[in-house]
Amino acid sequence: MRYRQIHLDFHTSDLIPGIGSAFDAKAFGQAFRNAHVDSVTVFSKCHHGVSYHPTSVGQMHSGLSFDLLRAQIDALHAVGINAVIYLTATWDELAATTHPEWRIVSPDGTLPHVSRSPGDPGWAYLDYSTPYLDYLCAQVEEVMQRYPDGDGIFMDISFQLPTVSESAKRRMTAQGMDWTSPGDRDRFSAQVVQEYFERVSTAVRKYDAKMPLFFNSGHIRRGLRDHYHRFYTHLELESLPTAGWGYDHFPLSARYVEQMGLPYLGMTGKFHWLWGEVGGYKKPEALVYECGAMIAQGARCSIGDHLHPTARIDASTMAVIGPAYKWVEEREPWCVDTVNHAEIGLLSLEAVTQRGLVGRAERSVIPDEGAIRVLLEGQFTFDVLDLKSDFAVYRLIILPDAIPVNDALRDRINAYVAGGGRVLLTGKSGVGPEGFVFDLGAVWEGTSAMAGGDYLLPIRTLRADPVNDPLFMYLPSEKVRVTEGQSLGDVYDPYFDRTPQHFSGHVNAPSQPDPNGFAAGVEKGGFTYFAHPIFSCYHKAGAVAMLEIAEKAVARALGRPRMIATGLPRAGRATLRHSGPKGADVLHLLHATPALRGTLGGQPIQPVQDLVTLEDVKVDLESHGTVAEVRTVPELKVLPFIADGGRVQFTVPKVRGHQMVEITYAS
Amino acid sequence: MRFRQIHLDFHTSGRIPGIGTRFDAKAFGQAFKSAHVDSVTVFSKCHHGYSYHPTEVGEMHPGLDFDLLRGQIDALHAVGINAPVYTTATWDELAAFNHPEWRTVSPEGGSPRFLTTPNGAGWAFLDYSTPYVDYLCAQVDEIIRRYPDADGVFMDICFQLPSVSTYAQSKMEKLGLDWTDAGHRHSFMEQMVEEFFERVRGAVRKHDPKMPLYFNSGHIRRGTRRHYLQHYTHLEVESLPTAGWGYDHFPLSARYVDKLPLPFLGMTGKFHYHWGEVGGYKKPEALIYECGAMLAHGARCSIGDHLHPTAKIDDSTMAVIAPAYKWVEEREAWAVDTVNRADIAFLSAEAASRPSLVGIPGQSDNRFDGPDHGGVRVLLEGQFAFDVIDLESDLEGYRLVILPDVIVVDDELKAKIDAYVAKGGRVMLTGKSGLRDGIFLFDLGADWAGTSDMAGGDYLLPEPALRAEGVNDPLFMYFPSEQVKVTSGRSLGDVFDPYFDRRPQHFSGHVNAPSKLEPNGFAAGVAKGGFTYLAHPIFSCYHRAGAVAMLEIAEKTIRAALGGDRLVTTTLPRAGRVTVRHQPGENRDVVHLLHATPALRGNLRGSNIQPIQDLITLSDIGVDIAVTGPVKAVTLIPEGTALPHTTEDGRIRFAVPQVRGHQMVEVLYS
Repeated sequence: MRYRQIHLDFHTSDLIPGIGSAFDAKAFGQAFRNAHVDSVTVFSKCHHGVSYHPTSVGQMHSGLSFDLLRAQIDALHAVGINAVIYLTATWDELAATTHPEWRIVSPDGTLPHVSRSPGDPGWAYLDYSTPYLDYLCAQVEEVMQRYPDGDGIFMDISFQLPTVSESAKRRMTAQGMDWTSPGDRDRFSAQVVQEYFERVSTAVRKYDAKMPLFFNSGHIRRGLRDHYHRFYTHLELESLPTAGWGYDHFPLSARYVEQMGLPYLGMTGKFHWLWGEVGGYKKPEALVYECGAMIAQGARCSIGDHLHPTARIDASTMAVIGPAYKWVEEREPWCVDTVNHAEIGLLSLEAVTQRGLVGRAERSVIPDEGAIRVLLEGQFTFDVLDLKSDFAVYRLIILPDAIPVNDALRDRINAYVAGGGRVLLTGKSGVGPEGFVFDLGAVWEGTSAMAGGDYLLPIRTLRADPVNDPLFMYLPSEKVRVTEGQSLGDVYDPYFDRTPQHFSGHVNAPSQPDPNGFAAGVEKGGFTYFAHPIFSCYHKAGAVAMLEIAEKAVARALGRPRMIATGLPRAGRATLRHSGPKGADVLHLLHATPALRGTLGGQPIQPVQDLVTLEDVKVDLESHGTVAEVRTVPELKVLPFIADGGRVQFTVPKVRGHQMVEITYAS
Repeated sequence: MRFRQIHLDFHTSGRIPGIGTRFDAKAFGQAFKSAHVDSVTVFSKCHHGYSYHPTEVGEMHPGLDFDLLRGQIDALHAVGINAPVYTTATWDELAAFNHPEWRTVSPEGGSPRFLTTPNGAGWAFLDYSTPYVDYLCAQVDEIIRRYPDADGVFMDICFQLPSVSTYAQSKMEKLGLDWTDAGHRHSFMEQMVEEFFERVRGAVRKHDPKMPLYFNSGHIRRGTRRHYLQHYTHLEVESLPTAGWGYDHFPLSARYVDKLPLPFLGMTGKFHYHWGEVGGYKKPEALIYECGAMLAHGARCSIGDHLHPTAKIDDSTMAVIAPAYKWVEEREAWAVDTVNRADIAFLSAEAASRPSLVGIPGQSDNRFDGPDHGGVRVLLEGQFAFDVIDLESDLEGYRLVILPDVIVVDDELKAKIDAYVAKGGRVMLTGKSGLRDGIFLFDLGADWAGTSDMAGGDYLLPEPALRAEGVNDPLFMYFPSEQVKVTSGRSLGDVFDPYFDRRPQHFSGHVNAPSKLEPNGFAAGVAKGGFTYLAHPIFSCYHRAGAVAMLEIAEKTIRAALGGDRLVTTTLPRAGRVTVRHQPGENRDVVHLLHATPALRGNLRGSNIQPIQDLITLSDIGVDIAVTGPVKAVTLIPEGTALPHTTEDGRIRFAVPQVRGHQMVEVLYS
């Protein structure tokens, strides 16, 4: 799998003339080559539904008069760059216009389309239960026949909304299903989505058993390993930080997919905001940081771009991409064939409650995202787990806020704890209908009636600095009576919950003077339990005091010094990766401060405006052998270090956005 | 006016018992004294409408059985702390409950509550055209009689929504006004608001001609200076960065208010989020940064807090406030009696609109966010030295006047600007500023040919000197430009049209149609003589989209319009801010360097929350500043460390070893 890819979007209305009229094969290839790019994804068919090559299935763009795709593939191959071919599934305006009967009909009878704001035009959704799927597979086959030298197939927008199209109703009725039943509709959707993956895969594999193949739906759904192993040769983690994914979605996804054993890349964009923002540019420094975040998580890199209708290369875009990919290229030797070091396994709520491939993938699952934010900001080392993950390799397993625990999971966790493992549960995790499913040394007495939130005052060692009074949490706690466990502090009720019948002040009623008698949490044996859904609280309110309490709770549950401690500020991130071939560890230090600037499509935009230099960042980390040398890479500056008791300490002179440090061991 | 104030909110439901049961006069006074506080605003009446003292007008809180206000005033005075008294106007739940006929009735017929539905949990709005104002003035009268030793009156929530209550209807009819007519309603309400200010001020002044008096409405309306000079003794700029005001509202307000002849303070909060968030705490570091920003803009400080119903002091809050106010105290000597040094006068769009006093100002009126917030954001991030002005401001002494995006220029303003330019002044206009009746009012060397019909935006490619770094292709701007044909001026670049505007009938791709290959023939802007004009409303563009490339273009255009060196330049990163204040009494300039990086964390009630999580240390920050005379010494304040500096052509240069949140540097003249 190539390391420095470009995803070259080309969604171009058929009303635009002169497609490819400024295409210059040599300049095209050379521009990417000069920008240190080694793979470019180019277009067979875009969301407008038109093809960029002669076709006997669909329609070539009416403004195009030659085989642009062939020309692009050849131009790229001529300079040693891979050319992966893009097609789109669910969004195809031409098919939706010429075959309105192929569109999704929502259960409420409307024809949905993507819209970022009221009145904004956008893509119609097609229905895999209609003959559209035949049409699409014929297009895939045509691509395989015409471009056997393509370096992969990227099938975009691979999801299906609930539908009651005539075709869906007819097929459901024929199968004895009730199309007015949401359950039956879900089952039917799951079935046709499966058909979609089967048939598109078959259309590719019929011609080429090894052609790289990826289906994109904007998010890798956690908990569906079998699906990905069956249909995908690799994974592309679409996650543009300024375009709604934020800066935490990528690390959350990457920490999950690494264990799946498929090669993967991170995909950001050169845009200031979103895909399709032609004439939008982020700063090169921002792209360096984002690529740094990818390599820190073991991912290869892909940068989203958009080609001008004339196929002229945008020199300003190349000036943004070039510095970032030159930077990546210099660092690759320390990034290939590395494995993440993790002390903590975060069991993903999305994975545990995964409902399959029905509907659009939910990008943000709050307990997962809140927890990952705490782990990143606390600079813990971690992986994100599903129910197939091996717990035994972790020192601590976290079940965030809402993890339902069935008998099988209970038995696995009890066995893990019996073997010396430690577990942190928060909120409703591990709470069954009859109370706690684990022996936490406490009994559960229901959820607090203070729906708008109550107050937490943990024991001293878990408090935020300098908060020694009850902290309002914005979500209610579970009511916990400690029996033989050790209490982790007190919960205070507000005078009353905020409702129209009774409210006090602007936000919340003050805390009553005395605690409500329930525990803030409990500790027993390998188990630590917190009565608040603290990760969701932090995700919702964002208070630093909540972060500090959560961080201290994680550190306490871990029960030993954390793997990495650094002098980085809150915006810093750290990962430690083991390089097998080099017999070394590589530490990645990251730092950037996205600023909230602008609101587009109702979304807050957070560009990285520049990078600042941090000086003399101290590091204290667990060593994995006898340390021979510590040096910055790729600069190769040797750093003095102190190795002692299985740990190594050194100071990194400067961190600007991203810095790698290699720790080599005596063999 | 005191420097280190606390605004001690106490909005406490009548259903809460035991009010003041843990009040300990000595501990109360001592806690504030230990936290370096010198003034605490305490409560006569809260938004729930209850009084915290015996009263013949209203009702004492049912859970209170002593004169808490007297207890607080005496406890504070005993340790030398001032005690202004708080009361509330438009929000008074008790009055709204007892006298529903005093509530505002919106023109649609509903009885509104703040940020909620008419029956939700939130404050009802009272109507100044009803007998409520009699009730309120009787309360004010009672306060001044009972507490003549109070150190001021803080009258909160001084705004009036449009109302068609039966009182309003009958008063309007008597005045010959039609209450179904929006214009008539507006002028009637202006009259009622004016009466409100007159009557409350009269109730205070009847007893005390000198009692400090402030009316709060959450925002100082730029362009109504006469109102403030008539009714207020000082100004309190309410602006809690995490609670919807953001980090730019305070500097925008302060740069305006600083030039009015009234003392003023900046008001933030100790809360993580918002007023009333009892059990919410920001980091002490965040408060230091916020207080640093106040000093940098010539403001005194006030921190919002909320007292527990029992009146017990919250030690954690004191632990957040104390480090910040100790920090302020050490710096005050360099912050009093200072004057901002400015290159640029930024004419506020709000001020130029001559705002009325009807409605909720500030946060709920977003018409000026694009030009004013966008403009000030560029000026702050570009580290320009500037003031924000209104139509009555004197332009003398400024090198550049900016008219952002939407300024309607009347004959008076035109004459003022022409005179300013004739004396060598320079002017920058953007977007629709300076346009009237289809022509440019100033000699810009260009003709106006209409507004682009690319309503979703078009593309800007300025001349090379004004381009964003690395961006030599057309930049999508998210707003349409004005169409400008250059005649005798110098073009500032090209505008490119998209293939078509994004509409349901025709769209291309996810966001915007690409730019055509050739420019559309209109100019990106024009320069002639002292005038620089940009055809895009660039400040609104930047406010909306936030692209760094837009910021860089706006910044470079301002520099070009300014001509010559800026008053101050630094090597601070984008998140850095700089001001230079002259302290005539000490014959010195004080340079303020600020740096913090608020992070987007959390979303409450639909608002993005941006706490400052920590402060980072920046090393070796270079400063280059125009001086007004021979320099004797450059010193870090309050540390006292002398800094080496070089002098050249009326400028000095020095390096500040470390900046962590805020750093002052004294430039002492011989």
